[in-house]
Amino acid sequence: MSIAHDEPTAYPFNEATGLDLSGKYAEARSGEGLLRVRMEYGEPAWLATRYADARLVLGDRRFSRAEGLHHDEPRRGEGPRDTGLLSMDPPDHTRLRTLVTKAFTTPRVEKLRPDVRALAEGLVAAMVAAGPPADLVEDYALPIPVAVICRLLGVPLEDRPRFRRWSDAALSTSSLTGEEKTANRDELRAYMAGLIEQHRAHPADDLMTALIEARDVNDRLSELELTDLCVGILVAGHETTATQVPNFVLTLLGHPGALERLRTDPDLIPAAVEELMRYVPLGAGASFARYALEDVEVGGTLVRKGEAVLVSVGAANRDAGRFADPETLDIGRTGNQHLGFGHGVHHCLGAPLARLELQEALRALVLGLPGLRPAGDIVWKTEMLVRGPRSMPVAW
Amino acid sequence: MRAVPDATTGAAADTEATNAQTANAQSADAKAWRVTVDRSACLGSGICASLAPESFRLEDERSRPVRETAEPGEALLDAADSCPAAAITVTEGTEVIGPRP
Repeated sequence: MSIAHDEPTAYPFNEATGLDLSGKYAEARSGEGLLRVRMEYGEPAWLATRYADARLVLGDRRFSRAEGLHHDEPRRGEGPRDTGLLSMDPPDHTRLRTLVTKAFTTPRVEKLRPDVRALAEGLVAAMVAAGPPADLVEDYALPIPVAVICRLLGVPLEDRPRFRRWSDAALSTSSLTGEEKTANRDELRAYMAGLIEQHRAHPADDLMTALIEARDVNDRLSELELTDLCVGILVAGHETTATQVPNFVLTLLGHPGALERLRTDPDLIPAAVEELMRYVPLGAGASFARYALEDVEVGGTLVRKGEAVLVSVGAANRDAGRFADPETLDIGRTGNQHLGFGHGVHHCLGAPLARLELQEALRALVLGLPGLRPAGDIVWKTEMLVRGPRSMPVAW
Repeated sequence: MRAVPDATTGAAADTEATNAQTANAQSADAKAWRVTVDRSACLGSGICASLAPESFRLEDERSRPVRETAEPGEALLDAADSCPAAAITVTEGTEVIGPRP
């Protein structure tokens, strides 16, 4: 029997702290059709939780991100809603994204592996030299992706304290007012515009210089697009990886058998990273709703033109219809086509780089700190789009 | 379940790209393009199948060209340019034209 969804269910489901996936997702997955949900702000939406439904909505161009700018999008908080590339559809999205894709392809990124490995091993050595305890976030998880993205993009590493604050605010959900978030975005834009001017005067061998050339020589993007693209790369380029490293370590500490297996067989690390991407629900909930451009049937529900669909990647990644024994962390899992990096045109631009950083971060830690263990209470990020420790004391 | 039906957009893009190609092709149908996907490199991101559903489909969660030869079209080059694994190659005769430099 199909249910009349007159009263939308309050969303998101997950607790803001911890990494558990709410049991409500299993209910939604096994229910008929899509669930009707409502977030704190914006209009109600459909929630897709099954793997096949998630792939359909994320991969089919009858669903649009750009259309959301004309709607009262479901969202967690106030503030500017234009999220750059993630608020665009092809062909505009393709025009901008292909300017940067090449810097992040698997073959290109693979060349960075020796440097990233040395960076991670150097940080482990510094932690050992300083002695326990250490903060896995500040002393390890953040410095790796920050150093990599700064070098790649052309941002001075010593500015980290400044853009860390802006970046935090950019991903925050409700701790700031809309005005504060707008002011924060403007500060970050102004900072980046300054760096772009410096690069114009003194071109370097980095992505920012290449993007400036794409604008000044080939007129392929506007000045604001150039600024926002650089801001987007800087923020997205470190925050999620820096959050997933402690999330993965915490998950592995809860699965000592898996951790021991990685120590004896480090060749399993790439597969383990894929499995952790599947298993760890990073988001407090689905965000960035897709709008139907025409009527489309999704998982037994006819989504009408103009309606919003939220896709829960965390729920789809635990769908027994796709993954055997989905609630089990199996670091040897094969054929693991999880949706942790998304799917379709908005599939994570930095996925190859994130994979490499996560692999090398885990490798140096697993091999270099065999006695790694928690050494105090975790302080969780709250009111952020992503969940994870703000600080995580560890010893060894 | 059918793939994205967007023949109109696809045809428009084809015409546009074909016109753009006339500088180095004698006529619109002078040369077909050859499209290959390195399935061992493919990450299954779904970007190509989303951008150019008439040219790529996901089979066992990895991409495969719908046909090996294709009418010249901007969407094919966009797909090659967008691939995070650099797994898509478009050739015209012996010349590699996608991904673009």
